Amino acid sequence: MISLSVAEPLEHENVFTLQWGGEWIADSYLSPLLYSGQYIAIGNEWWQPFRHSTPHIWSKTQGDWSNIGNARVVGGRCYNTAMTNYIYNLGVQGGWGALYNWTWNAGSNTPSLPEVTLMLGPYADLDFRVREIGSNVNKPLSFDFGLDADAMVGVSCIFRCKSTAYRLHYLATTNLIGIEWLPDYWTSYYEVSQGVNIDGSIAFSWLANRHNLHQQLSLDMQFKRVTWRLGVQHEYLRYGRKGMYFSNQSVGLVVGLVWKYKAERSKL
Amino acid sequence: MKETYCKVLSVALICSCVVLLCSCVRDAELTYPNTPGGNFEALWTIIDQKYCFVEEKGVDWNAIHDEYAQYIDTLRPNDYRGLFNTLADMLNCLNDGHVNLYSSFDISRCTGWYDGYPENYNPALLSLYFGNNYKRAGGLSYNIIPGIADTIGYIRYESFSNGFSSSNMYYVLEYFKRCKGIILDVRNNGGGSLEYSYALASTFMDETTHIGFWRHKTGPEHQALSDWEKLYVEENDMPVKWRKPVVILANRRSYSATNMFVNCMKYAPRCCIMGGKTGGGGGMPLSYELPNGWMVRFSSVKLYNADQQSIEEGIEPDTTVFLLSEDKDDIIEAAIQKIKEYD
Repeated sequence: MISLSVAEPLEHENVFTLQWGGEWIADSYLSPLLYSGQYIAIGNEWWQPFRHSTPHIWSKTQGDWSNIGNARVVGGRCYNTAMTNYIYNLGVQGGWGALYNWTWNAGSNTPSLPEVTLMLGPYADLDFRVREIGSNVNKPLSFDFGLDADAMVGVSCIFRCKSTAYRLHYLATTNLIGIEWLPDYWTSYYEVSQGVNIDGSIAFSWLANRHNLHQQLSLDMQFKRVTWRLGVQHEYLRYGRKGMYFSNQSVGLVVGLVWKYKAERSKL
Repeated sequence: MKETYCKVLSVALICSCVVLLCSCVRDAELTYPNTPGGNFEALWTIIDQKYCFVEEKGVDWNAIHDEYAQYIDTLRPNDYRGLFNTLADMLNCLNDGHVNLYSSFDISRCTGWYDGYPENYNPALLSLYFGNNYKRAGGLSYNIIPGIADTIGYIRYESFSNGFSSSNMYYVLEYFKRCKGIILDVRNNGGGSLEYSYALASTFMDETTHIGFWRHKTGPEHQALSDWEKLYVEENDMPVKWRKPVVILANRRSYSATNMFVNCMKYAPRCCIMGGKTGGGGGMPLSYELPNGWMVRFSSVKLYNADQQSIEEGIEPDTTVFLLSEDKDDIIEAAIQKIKEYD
């Protein structure tokens, strides 16, 4: 823990993560086949309270708002079942949201009772991925673009075992409404690249026609002065219309480095 | 209190597992089964729904389905070459050079669109006009034709897949600046990139020119096409512009992007198309995959000239000339004569 200031410090938390896992892509603009392969990603997630914790009306609980954000760069390569063609994909994702935290047993003097926090709040995220198919005629590229307002929910549990502190953390995000890029199958790459015949390619999306689920289950372990994160992450994105389907699903391992610091609030 | 924590955690974990399992559903509706019958049905449906010339080709695609389905039924499950040949034969009924089946061991091709037409091209004769010390700029080979009082430049462009830059074009035109005209030979040029087609045509345009339309498919029905979208060749912004005569040499093997280039040049000033009718290929091809990973290429965007006439079946030259001699290229000779006569 790094103390940057002693005056009215606010706790900030950063997690730098490396991810690796399996990925499944269906992009009927490029191919009707399911592609599978591996992906790697580098990400950073941060969390900080809006203000100091205040006692909640409930007994032994505290309630407070915090904000959370993340940025991630992901890349992968997938093959079709017959191994005759491949798809490269490269994407950037980022988001920011506000979470209301209900914390039970915060700062308890009883080590046997874990500190449990429930989190719920809105989240906004931007998702952009480019896919390049190895062999194709006049449709070499496809991309996902989505700007969503999401709901985020999470549970966090801090406990101690044999003098080591652990935090079990689950966080899930699902889209509610937003906009997405959804090209017509019949629009060629020439037309897309020249910006003609793409009317209607930006579409309104919501939970019924776009499923975007992001969930992560992780365990933070504190060893000496370093906190490590180990977890699994699952992402599922599926959308489509007029016979077109796009889906991107991944399951991967997450290894991260967690660090916290306290920073003085700005005084104007 | 501890019980409450456990309940909350358990519910959250169970919910997350349920969501995770439910979302692991494979998109089964995307594909046909990877069997001879499944691949056949997938291919037939792709052409039926995505190919833009089903009706223009004058074939009964449903009847073709019934005819070839019986051959598929006789194939052994592992007879992939037999399957390939059967599917290739079915595609060749369309008589379209843009329709091909790609596998790891073979690529099907159709020759019906140029069989029976005069060759109108003999590469052995080119050295008479080209010499052996010709220059190359990108995909363009060029030289001044020797032994002619009025100097005439000759450019041979083998394929629109071989790119060239505006810098290449600048030096070619700069080399020809004292010439009275240029012969641009795109015979046996099977096409390539439309971008190069437009770029080359713009070299000879005085201004931005409307050269045609395109319409792409908008749905699985055969006649489902988008509105007419105009196509233009932009004015060339190179410092050197060609404002002298140009003769384009074409033959039946001038196909696809070359066909489009010839169409563009129909609207260029001081230009004459000479030789034979082009091969056509007036559709922009796309591709799609079969369940076994083979790829089918087919046209999905229709290209038209500025009079809204399809160019799929080829473009007639302004002057038809046949290559009949064995010791000289009659078409190049006619082109030289045409430039000489130009005032």
